[in-house]
Amino acid sequence: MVNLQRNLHSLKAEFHDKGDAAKGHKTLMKLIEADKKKELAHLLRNHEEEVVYGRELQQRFEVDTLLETYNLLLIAILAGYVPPALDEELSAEIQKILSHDSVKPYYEKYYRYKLTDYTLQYVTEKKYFTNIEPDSNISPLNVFIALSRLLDEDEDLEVFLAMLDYVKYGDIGLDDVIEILSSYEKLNKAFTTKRKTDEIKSIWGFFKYTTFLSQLREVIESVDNNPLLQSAMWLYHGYFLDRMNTRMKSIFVTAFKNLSHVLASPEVFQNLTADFSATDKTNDYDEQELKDTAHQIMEKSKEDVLFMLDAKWKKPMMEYFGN
Amino acid sequence: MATNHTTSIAIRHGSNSQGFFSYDPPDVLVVFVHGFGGNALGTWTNFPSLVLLEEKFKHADVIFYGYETLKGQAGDHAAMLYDFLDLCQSPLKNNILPREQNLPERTYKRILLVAHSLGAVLVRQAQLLAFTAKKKWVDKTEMALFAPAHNGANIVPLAMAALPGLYSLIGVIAKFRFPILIDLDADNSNTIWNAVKTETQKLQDKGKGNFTKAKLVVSAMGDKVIRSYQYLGDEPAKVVTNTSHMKVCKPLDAAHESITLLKSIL
Repeated sequence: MVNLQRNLHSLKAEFHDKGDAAKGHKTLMKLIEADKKKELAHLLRNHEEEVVYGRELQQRFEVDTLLETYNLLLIAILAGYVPPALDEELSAEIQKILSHDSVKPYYEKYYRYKLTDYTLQYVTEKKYFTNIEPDSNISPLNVFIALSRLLDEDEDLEVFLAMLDYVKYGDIGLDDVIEILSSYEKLNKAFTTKRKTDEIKSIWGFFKYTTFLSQLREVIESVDNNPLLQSAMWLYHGYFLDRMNTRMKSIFVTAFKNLSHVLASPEVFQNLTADFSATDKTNDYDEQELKDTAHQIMEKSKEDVLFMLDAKWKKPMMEYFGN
Repeated sequence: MATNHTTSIAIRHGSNSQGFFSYDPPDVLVVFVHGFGGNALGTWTNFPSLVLLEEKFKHADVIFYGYETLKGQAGDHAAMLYDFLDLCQSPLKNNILPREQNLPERTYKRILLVAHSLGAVLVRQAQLLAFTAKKKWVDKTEMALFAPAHNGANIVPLAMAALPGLYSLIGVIAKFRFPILIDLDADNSNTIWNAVKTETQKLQDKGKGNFTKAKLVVSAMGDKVIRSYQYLGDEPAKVVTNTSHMKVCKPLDAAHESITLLKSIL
């Protein structure tokens, strides 16, 4: 248990005590302790009531990071990395923030994030997970952390995910990006141009996010001995996988249809190594084999996306918490 | 054995680099450097947890260094890796090990650079940069190389094997027009891998640069991506069967040959 306490300290130091999560914590506690309910509710309002931008938007991102940290703690418990019962100080903080009347609507109603509900229930009702072997799933936890960090740090992914969440950049929205996926010339230009417009960033973001989903599938499948952990990892990314499930299915079905169209164009596989040295490189590969591989990769990616968009992954946590 | 390391620490150098710092004073710094198309942790799959749970790594800080392989040239990434390794000599002072972890500053006796594929070219070039800059720490460095591309690589098989998921289609659609792939072209002698080799040869001919001789080289039997033959004064390669260019650095369990071989040089 000593090691698990040490791990908890390390996890808190990295994900809670510095950076955006620490700022989010400071903002919330300042408003809660001053009993500024209205101000807090206004900060965490539904953006459809009143547009959010500038400093407020940044503060909300910081709050989002803090909520993710609380949820990551739940995942770390399930992975056997930290003790099932968090220390008193941390438990009290989670309860104070997540059960606050001005905070609850933010993650329960306006931007539904079910895992946060479960984290609160876990701490409040002491619904401790049992039979978790210490250190049992450290590797998947580390890979999960690394993958999830990528989503926060990559600019291409940021633009793509914002567009997926209905944000427009000038006149450009996700439909325009998906349309480009049907044109070989435009895609080739997007991948070889030096200047990345928001549209091009989003195209890169599409490929990166699809790859992310394939990699997340691998992590989730690697912990099939622990359905609750699988479920929690899925729900951690529930803002898109759960809340935007229908939109994602529709977008990705069209995107893969468009990509199939591109792969059917003969010019895709012609003069593949024309830019390399004068040495004949055609012996390096077999064109038909390459075509087959490309199609297999696309089909596999499609399968991975549909796998990740299967709502069955939330069931184990729903059943455990009874809602 | 339970883990004796911090949680995954985000390192703001390279791309998505992560560090696991020993709770005890460490003797060794181990830096894993992935190859083309890989990423900081994904390339190595179970390597992180397997090494973190090994007694031999208990007193080692372990860093998984990442870089964006589709951006820039191999030389750019090698220079950035060199800068990073230089900062790693005082990780606490240089904010690589966050103060919030409440751990003391490190003084490493050894620096083990573990690289896969293209990562081998980057590591070798970073060492040469350190030697040129007269950095004393370079003499503490040792190399363990998995399917190294230091003799060049076959571009199309590399791109198709190494890029993960849908990302590999980008290679086809862009007709493999990425500078870093040209850097690795085995049939082109005017590239970084050849320049590094020439420079290394000069050093070794003068009886210098012991650090340029890899302590461990692991090849995958039947690897179609790299040109697998003896590299100057390196230890002769250990050949692992029933694996591939990509799988050679993805051990499934602690008994895997790649783990055993790495442990043997620690």
